[in-house]
Amino acid sequence: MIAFWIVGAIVVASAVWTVTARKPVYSVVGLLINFAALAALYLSLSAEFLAVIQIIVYSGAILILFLFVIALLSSGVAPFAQGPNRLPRIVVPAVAIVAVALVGLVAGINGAAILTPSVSPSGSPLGPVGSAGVFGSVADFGKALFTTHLLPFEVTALILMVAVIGVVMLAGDQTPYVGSSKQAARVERQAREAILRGGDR
Amino acid sequence: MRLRGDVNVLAPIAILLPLVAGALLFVLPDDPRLGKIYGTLVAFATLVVVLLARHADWSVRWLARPFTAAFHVGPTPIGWWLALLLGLCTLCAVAATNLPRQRSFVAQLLLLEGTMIGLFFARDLLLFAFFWDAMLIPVFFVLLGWGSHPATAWRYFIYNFAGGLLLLFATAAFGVIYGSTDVIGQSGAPLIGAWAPWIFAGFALAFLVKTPVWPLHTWMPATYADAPSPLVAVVSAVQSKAGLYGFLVIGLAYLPTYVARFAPELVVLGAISLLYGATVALVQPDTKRVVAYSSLSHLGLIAIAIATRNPLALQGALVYIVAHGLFSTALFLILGYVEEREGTRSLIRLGGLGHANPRLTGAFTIAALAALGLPGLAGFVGEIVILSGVYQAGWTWAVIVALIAIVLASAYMLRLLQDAMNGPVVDDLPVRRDLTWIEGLAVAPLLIALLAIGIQPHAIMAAIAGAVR
Amino acid sequence: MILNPFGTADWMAIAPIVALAIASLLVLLADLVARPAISRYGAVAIGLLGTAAAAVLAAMQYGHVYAAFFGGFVTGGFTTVFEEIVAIALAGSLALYATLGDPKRIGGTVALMLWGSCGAMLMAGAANLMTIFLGLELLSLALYCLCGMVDRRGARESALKYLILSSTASGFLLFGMALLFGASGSVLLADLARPQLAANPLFWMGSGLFLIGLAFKMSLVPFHAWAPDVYEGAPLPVTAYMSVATKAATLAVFARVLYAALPAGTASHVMLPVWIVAGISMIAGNVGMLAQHDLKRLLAYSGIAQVGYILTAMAGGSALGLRYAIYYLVAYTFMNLGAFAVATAISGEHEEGARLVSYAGLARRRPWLAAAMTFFMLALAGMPPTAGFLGKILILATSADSGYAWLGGLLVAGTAISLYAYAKVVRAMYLPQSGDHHVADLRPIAPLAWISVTLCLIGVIAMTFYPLTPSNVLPLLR
Repeated sequence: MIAFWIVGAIVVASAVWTVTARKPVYSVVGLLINFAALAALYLSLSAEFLAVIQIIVYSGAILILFLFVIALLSSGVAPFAQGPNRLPRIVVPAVAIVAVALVGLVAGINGAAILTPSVSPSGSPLGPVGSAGVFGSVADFGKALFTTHLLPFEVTALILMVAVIGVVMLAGDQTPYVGSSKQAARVERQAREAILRGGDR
Repeated sequence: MRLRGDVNVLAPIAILLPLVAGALLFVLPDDPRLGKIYGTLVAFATLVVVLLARHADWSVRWLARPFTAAFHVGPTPIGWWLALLLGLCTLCAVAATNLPRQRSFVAQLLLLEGTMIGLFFARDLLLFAFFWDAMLIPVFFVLLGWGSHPATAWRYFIYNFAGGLLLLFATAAFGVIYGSTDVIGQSGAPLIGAWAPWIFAGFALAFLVKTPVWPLHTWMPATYADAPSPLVAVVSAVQSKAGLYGFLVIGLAYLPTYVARFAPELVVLGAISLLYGATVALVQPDTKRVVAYSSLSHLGLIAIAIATRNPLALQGALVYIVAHGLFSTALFLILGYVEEREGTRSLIRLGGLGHANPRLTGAFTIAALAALGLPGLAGFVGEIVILSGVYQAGWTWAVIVALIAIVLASAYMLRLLQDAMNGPVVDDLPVRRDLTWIEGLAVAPLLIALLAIGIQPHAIMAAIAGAVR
Repeated sequence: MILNPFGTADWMAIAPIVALAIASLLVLLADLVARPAISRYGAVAIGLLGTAAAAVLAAMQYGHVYAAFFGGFVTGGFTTVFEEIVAIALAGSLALYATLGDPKRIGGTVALMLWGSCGAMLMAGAANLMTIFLGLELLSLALYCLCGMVDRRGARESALKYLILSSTASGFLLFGMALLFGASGSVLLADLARPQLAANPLFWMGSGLFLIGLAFKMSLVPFHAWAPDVYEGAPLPVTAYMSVATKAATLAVFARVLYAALPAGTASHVMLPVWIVAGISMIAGNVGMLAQHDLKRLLAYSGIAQVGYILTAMAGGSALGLRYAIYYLVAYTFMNLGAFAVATAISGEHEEGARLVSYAGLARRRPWLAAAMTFFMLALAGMPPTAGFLGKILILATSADSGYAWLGGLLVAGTAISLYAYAKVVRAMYLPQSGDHHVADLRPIAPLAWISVTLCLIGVIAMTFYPLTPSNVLPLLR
């Protein structure tokens, strides 16, 4: 129970930090803490499978992606250009995250002596995650996903599709619209003339 | 509904004819003469249809839930008289129209006529509310398009729309409690229940705004002064009677106890309107405003008559409704002619028109005398019957107030006549041309009707006595 | 273990949604292979065909109450009606997009609209918290992108604003759902109606948060601030779509919760804040409308108030009230789409016909459009001879009948206020054009926009005289 409150506090605090941090990298670090703490919460609910997924997919894949994007976008911008002097300030939060994440993971996977489940569904024995009939097991999870909750599962596919198409559309090419080849030729000619005139507009 | 030989179908035709013809006019070529001739023909045809539709009764179901409602049209006896008055006034108003963008104006007048015939023909309360709101729209457009101040249009619209909303709410509540709104002109049981006083309040406020009665009248003088005369003629002659008609067919028929309970208040409001209108009319320099305030005064008298619920007073009220419709149409049309010619409505500037325009002056004199209640003209018949009825009902003080107002009426009407028509000729007034043939023809039926009712009151009293019962 | 627990009936239940999803894939494919000149109308044509197919498929389910996918999606009269409303909104906005849309992006835009409608239709039939949330997210996600789909500063701002505020609302919704799930142990709406929940504080907190989320999406008053800004920034067809489809879908969810998913006797308590908020919306929305000089902002505020009217009809929780709410919603769909169609028809190449000054003198230049717009404004104000009039009287009657007459009174007051704003639009059209704000480039007559204006006009007027209301909208759950 105490663990729940501690982890809960970490979740909230890290979320606040994510939003308020001035540098994007700090935000990502905050998010990382958040995800890790969330994974710990899943563990405390005996949702081991979800916790692992959370770590692998969110902390592992998505955050790395974030970091790449930030690195690419802001390379040459102040915080990175200022050199290693500013690095030690990250150390404290970084150590904190790693520690919390490790403690959470180890504790959770080892059978939750300190993290007792706060909501214990009656009649569902805790046990190895891999086998069916155990609360939070992969088998049950998969079965539910493809039977009871097939519709929501399929809808998420649509949602992802919308996100992809939407981003392509929003980022889409910024060239002026050309309706026909004749029009295209005209646009091209105009562009060439503009260059010849030496205009750098 | 068979078309041949079926008189009932005339009721929807009377409503749709001017509506469709009016809408059609927007599509026709924009020619002022065409608009006027077309409009006059349609208005005449409508008048004939209304005349024939006296006993028509036509119904189609509209709603089954939450209360039954129907497109039930067919004149009530009182509604028929009002529709007839409306037909005549619109005919005269269309014939007297001479405005820029004439085609559109005539079209709006026809739309107005259609919605108002709908109001007087509606036998269903929901349909009544429908036409009640609908008839604001043409007037609003005319005020916007032809009025001199847009603010007037807003004031007219918002006042009356607020009233219309109250009517709507009251109608909805009435329907829910009564189970049906198909009630106008039928002898149903009065409405009872905890809601009844609120419903009455909703109806009463809507009707009082429309009439109008002091202190809800402030939209009225501006509207009457700003709008073109043909429209004002129709609005003052007939649209203002819609509230009174509502009191008769809904208030008296379904909420009689509340009319009785609030009779003192209604009589006081009527009396204040009566005196206030007359007093303000006495000092107004604007000719149309004089007639507007005189209308307020006259309608106050009718409101008193209805509030007393005395049969004789009601009979008088109906005669006076018709008479007031006739003479106010005539007055506004003739003042419109004057304004058109001289370019002013100010009594300070006008004067001596009688020398060059004998026909105009003659027509105006007849209408003004009818308005001040000269025996032998229609106004007198209505007034005297109302006064006897009100006296019979025991409202002596109201009779005294009314008599004072009638004296004041003579004063302001004669002042109008004196300042505009008599006196020395004012040299710098622009055109002096007497009534043309068509202009004369447009007001003649009104004056003839005023005289006829004045000389032969028995005929109309007998006809109306049946309607009141 | 049963490998395929779903029969044909399950798949038929979501057939309209599948039809739309397939249509949007076809649109994207066509966009890829077709020449730009024909892809513009081609995309819209495929979209309209898909919409028609979805509408037909939805209509075929009218009256067949069936809980598909373990109760995740329930068909029946109610679902059909709301699916049809979404289809109307979609068809109307697609027609506008063909007129006005950025031709470069038309394929993706049409596809996103179709997918968004999938979400809206899902919400129409959703009977389980997860389906509700996913439908809502699908719709919202499509709308975020659609809002930013033009090259204008305002559009991107609008999209971002919508994204952030709407996500906040989704957060409320999701947290509420989590608490409801915690209380009932089930994601099915039907399980929320169990009487023992009434004593559970989790249920009260959960439903409160859930309703806040819905109020946000319906743009009721304390949560309405996003609507005018987002409407203003989004492209006109998207605004038209958003104003109708999101309202319809969210109202469908709300109605299902109100009518089917509350423990007996709790409805009047749980929903009381909603009714109060609806009452405030009716006044505040109409007051907010008075100061607007942009049609989109004006209609945004108008929408805030109109949702209040619709909720007034539902306030009693009676079956008739639901029918009248639907009647008014359909009428509102026609009025709103019609008004936006007129705005599209007068839009220039570079400027949308949204500012009120661009309506000056419209009665001279385009008398038919002006007349149609007049009717739409009259309808929004509730004047005869339009469905707005009859809708208002039906709502007033219901409110008087069900003991929520105070909401009826607020409706009357709000309507009285709103009149000025609607009449302002009408007045702008009929007054002569002032010199400085000359709108030179009136677009040549756009057939699709004119067709939708005509259809909406017919709808708005015909509904007055043939007031059909769906009779078998209940039961909402089985």
